[in-house]
Amino acid sequence: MVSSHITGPYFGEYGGQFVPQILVEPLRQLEKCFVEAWSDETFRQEYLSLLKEYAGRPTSLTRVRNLTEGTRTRLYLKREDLLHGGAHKTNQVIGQALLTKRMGKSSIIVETGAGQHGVASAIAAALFGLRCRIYMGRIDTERQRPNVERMRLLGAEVIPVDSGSRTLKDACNEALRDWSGSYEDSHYVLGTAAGPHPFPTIVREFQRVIGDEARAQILEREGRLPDRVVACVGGGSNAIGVFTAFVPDESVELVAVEPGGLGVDTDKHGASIGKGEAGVFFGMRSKLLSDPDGQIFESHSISAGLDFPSVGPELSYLVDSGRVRCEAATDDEAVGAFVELTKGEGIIPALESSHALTFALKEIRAEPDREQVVVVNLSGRGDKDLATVTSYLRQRGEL
Amino acid sequence: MSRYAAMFESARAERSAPVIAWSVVGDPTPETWLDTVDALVSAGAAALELSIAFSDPSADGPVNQGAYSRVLGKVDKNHAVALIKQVRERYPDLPIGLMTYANLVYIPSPEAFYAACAAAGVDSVLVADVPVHEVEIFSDRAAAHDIEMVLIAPPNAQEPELKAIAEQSQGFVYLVSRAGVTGTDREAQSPLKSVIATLKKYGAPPTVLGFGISRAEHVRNAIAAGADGVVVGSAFAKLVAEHLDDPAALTAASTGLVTNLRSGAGIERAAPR
Repeated sequence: MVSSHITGPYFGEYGGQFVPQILVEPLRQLEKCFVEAWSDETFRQEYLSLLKEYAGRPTSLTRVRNLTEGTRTRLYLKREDLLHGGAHKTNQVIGQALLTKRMGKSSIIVETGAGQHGVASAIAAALFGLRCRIYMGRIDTERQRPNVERMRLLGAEVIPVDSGSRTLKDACNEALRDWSGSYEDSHYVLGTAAGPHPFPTIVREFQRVIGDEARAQILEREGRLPDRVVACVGGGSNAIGVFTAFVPDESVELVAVEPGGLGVDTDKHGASIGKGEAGVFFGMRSKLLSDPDGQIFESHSISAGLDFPSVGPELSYLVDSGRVRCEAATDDEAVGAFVELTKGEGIIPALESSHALTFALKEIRAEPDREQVVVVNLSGRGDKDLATVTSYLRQRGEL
Repeated sequence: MSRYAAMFESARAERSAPVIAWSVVGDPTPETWLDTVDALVSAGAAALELSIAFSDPSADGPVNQGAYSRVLGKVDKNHAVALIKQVRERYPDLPIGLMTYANLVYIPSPEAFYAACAAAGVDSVLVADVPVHEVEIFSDRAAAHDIEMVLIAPPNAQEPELKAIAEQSQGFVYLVSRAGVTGTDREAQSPLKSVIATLKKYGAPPTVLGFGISRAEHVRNAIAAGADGVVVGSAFAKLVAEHLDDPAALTAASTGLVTNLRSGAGIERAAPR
């Protein structure tokens, strides 16, 4: 090994740094900056105070009142939908924006699927006076139009990507291409706990606040740990964020819910852990969906934020090692939970988070007599999804 | 002696530097591609650097991405390997390298990939998204099949990386003189003499400059700065895109490109005393 990594680049067999040699130096600079900053009390204080004063932490832990009727489950939602920006993404973007300033860089490069990471990044760029270039697949710019408008109003440049499948994976490629020519003055604010080392570690550390808070909140409310914590998984940042604090608590079952699309036995899904195999893509070795030649699969999900053919390396590892159980929910089930939470509790969830909710409800209702405490990470709010859900329901004659 | 070693030796004897031609196997069609390979080699391309089309070429600019998309879904991996084998049979002494992405090597298995390369007569494999500190993912399988492992030396590499690249790159070192992805929209810069000097200090094989080479002047500058050869890639892919409906014009243009680049490849400094 030539590179002397400061933190471990691998989680079991997954992770690493599978990038062109030219990106090794900027990744090393980032790793060094993060490790120094994270042990610098002044940096931590600034970060935590921004999360509190600017972004609105801690977020609530809300007990569901109506959806669990007829069961003995106490179901709680970790309300990342209430965070400034509308999703958990803001937690880590503020951290990476501070790192950008610390490295003396003036611009950020961003990839986005649903546009939540793009919006969070545009917010941080506005706050810190950074130039912001956001790559977004052409198809995603069309299905998440309100977020495109938000990003542009916030002053960011949104660049539609027309290569490949014109979704998140192609935006990721384009961001890497940009960075390989612009690293001198630009930082790549990667949007999830995936990609080349040290991103999976950095993003996990900036997102673990979700689980740290949820664990303390549930102990205060229930006097005990939950039986189960459920989160949706695209790249995996909200899942690793809520799981990390609970990983050492062996009694707590951790459930990752992937986008089942039209069904995991069709070719229209994004279940990269459940249906994928180990491969190399987007700078990391992890589980991914590809054809027998190794061409990357064009995943499908009704939720743009989960529409990604791979997943962060630490989640691949946690599933292989048996610590995290991996499940899937279809487009149809996710829309069902979206409607149910909206009508039943007055909370409009993101379609991404609706995947976690629908799976949690399914298991809860299958065992109505079991007395249990379940936490679902409600990673974002659903305003951005209104058009998608409305047209889906119209097509089925339900609206 | 390896085919690359023989190539550099004969170029030195002719007081010239090798011009290596890159293309995507089967671009724009298998038949036309075989014809253009003939044209490139007849015009004096000293070696071929070939890519198998990949869905997510994150180190390539728009011109090369265009080449990949022309072929993707039409020429699969087995077909590409069979085409390479045909070229090998036609040119037994020509060095043939592959430039590829890791997932094409990894799936279904590195063993299967390197075995297929060896059977097709491939000399070297460069994996664009595997930097020197991750080569262990493939190096034992490459060695087992006598495939040389070519590494890239970018302008921002620090001395410890350059030392590792010098020691581990086989056949040649692929120099990149500027930041960014492949393409001629950013012209080649002269390679950093210090990068070449550091590589030589650690016993590197000959160096070959790529990314942004499209004119004789780029070749002259590369050689003046100490590079031992050049790779022309996107300038060729651009020609393919411009002559999609006219294979005869494409072969003529390919000949013209290599002839022009070779006119910059003479080495005055190597004149015998």
